[in-house]
Amino acid sequence: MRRRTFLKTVGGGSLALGASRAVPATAQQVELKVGYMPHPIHENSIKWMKVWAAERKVTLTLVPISYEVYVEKMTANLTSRGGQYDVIWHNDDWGQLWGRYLEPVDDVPALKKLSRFIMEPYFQWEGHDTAVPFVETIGTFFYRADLLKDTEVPRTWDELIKTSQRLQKDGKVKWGFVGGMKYPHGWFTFFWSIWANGGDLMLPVHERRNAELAKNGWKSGLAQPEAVQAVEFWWDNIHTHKIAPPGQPGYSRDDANAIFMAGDSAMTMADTTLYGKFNDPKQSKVAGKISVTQFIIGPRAKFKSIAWRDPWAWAIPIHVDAAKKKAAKELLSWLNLTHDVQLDLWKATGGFPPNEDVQRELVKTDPVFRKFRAVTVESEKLIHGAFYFARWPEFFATAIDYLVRAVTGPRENIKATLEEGAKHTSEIAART
Amino acid sequence: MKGSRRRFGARERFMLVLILPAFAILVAFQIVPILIGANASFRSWSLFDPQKTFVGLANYRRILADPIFYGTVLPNTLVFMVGSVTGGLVAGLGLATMLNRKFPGARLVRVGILLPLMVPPVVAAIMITWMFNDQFGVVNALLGTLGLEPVPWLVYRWTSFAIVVMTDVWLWTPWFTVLILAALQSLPLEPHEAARIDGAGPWQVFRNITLPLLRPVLMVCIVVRAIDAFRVFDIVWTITKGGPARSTEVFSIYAYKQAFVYLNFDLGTAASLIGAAIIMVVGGVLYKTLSYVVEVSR
Repeated sequence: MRRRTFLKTVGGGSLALGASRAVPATAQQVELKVGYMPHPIHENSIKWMKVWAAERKVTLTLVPISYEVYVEKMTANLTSRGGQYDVIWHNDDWGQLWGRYLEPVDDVPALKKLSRFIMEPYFQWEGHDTAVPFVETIGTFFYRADLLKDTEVPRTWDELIKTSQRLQKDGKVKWGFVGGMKYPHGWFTFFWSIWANGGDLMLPVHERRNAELAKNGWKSGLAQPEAVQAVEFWWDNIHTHKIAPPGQPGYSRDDANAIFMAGDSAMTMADTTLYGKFNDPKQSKVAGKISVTQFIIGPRAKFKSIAWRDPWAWAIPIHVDAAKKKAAKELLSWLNLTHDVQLDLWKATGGFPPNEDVQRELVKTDPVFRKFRAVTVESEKLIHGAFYFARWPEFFATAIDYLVRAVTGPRENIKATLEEGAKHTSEIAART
Repeated sequence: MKGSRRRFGARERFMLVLILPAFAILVAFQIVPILIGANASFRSWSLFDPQKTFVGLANYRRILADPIFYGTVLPNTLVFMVGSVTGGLVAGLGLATMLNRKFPGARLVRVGILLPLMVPPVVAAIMITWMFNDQFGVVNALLGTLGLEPVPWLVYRWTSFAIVVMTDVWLWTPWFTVLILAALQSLPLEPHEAARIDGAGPWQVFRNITLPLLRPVLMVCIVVRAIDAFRVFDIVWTITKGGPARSTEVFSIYAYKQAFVYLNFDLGTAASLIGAAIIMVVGGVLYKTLSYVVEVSR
């Protein structure tokens, strides 16, 4: 009898709990939990999310996650169908990892306003779009306009060395160039220089379709002459010409940005999205003194300019409930279709608004945007800044390890180190 | 039958009930995750697409055949363990001996020495990273005032590794100090007084009387810290992340990177279990040595 009462109580309690969970969220106030990285772009987007949420009486819960652990944490959350997030930050080079766990967003109207270049191949899964970009992340060269006139800005690696040495000799700056090098920050030194020298991390050069990479035997480009020369360029810049800090192989993008913002370096390479931060007098000593230029081209390049063009996006885990999905889609569309949001993104941060109508409007009205666009997305070669095979995270980390080892070891070992790296990274890619 | 009933009388059942909550927590948060991990180590299990196909010992074979694992990670872990334990022990012994004497402000000094024990390791590691930053760090600023060239501390393997070990020693020295000081204060006075009457100097007393009497406590400290140092993660991750180019990677970082950076959950769990086996062997050997040394010193 007592046992029956116990079972009734437990059973009744469970049913009540189940029933309360089954109540559609539409009947209650919708809450959206947003997983994001603390970064000026995210913070700008979130500022507008709050406006949208306040107007619609949606509760917004913000969960910041460090970039250093973002992929692993979010991957674990998605694969375990965790309920921690309803809207998540999504990056192009995670598309292949998360595609199957994300809600298709083909029905988000704002996607019609975006270039397909920033959606494919990564934000596609089984023919459906899986993320809604909220900014275009495009790497560019920042330089000190108070130290260099437009005509003095280096166009070649040789000019970069000479210009840096001149500024250092004149006591204007401590360093000519600074950029992040260690994992996961290799874009800001190794990668741009390999690309600007006509090379690539995988072969064929500039190919991003997995089928084509597979057809070519998943061949790594790390030991190609363009990559070897790029690493030699960095080795010389650090050890011989001394235009870059000796600690650079251990720098993250934040370390490099701090040196540039302290006024200690004449040039750096960063996403355009850092423009607002570099130009903020509260944070930067070089505020109001910076401009942008294209990637400085290496001696082996057979083109005049190159840039990468990728998005950062918001996505919705497939396992969140229908009411949250509906609200999240409405929010993400609103962020892209509202011109004030898109214009503020550009003005406050330097991030390119993905809405092409807004970009056209800015080209007409904003000379700074015109310049940013000219040195980036209007480049002769436009590529994606990552690869989209399943083993890319391991490939990426391993490639950076070999590049760092090459740049910190003896110069005569660079080629051999990169050959070993090419063999190892090819094996990793082939496991895809 | 009678015997078993006697074993589980009312008193024993009450004891079992008291143990039950702790046991349940242990099972839920320790045993079950270890079993899940062990299961994953025999399967093809990437974090982003868990196929969970049974692959036998393939993951173990891959870890054991990885040159980074046996050529860098294991030596680093052992060097870290020896360096950290030795450094902490020597510094702790020295400080405890100093604090065992009466001098003005002794209490204040004791509190000051305990401070690192209250600093979270990650906070300490961030602080140290900034101190050794090649552009803005206080260490290079000091070198500069002495007319020396700044050093890119975190770019080279052995300078990075030395910083990591030094940080760990700094954090753990107070722990050694407290335990050794407590042991020092409980030592019998007679052997010391007898030695002094026989004309032994302070070093001779310390070497031949104090140290042998401290041996059981020192051995416990060494075993506990050695096992703990084998598992170090936070300090290494915060200061070097195992870099530059994996050259300061220790065991826990290797397992973490396999599972959560490369997203190979199967290899990460296999590496963890290999590490658990190694530390069980190392711990067992240390424990046997401890028992032997303590027995001999009686």
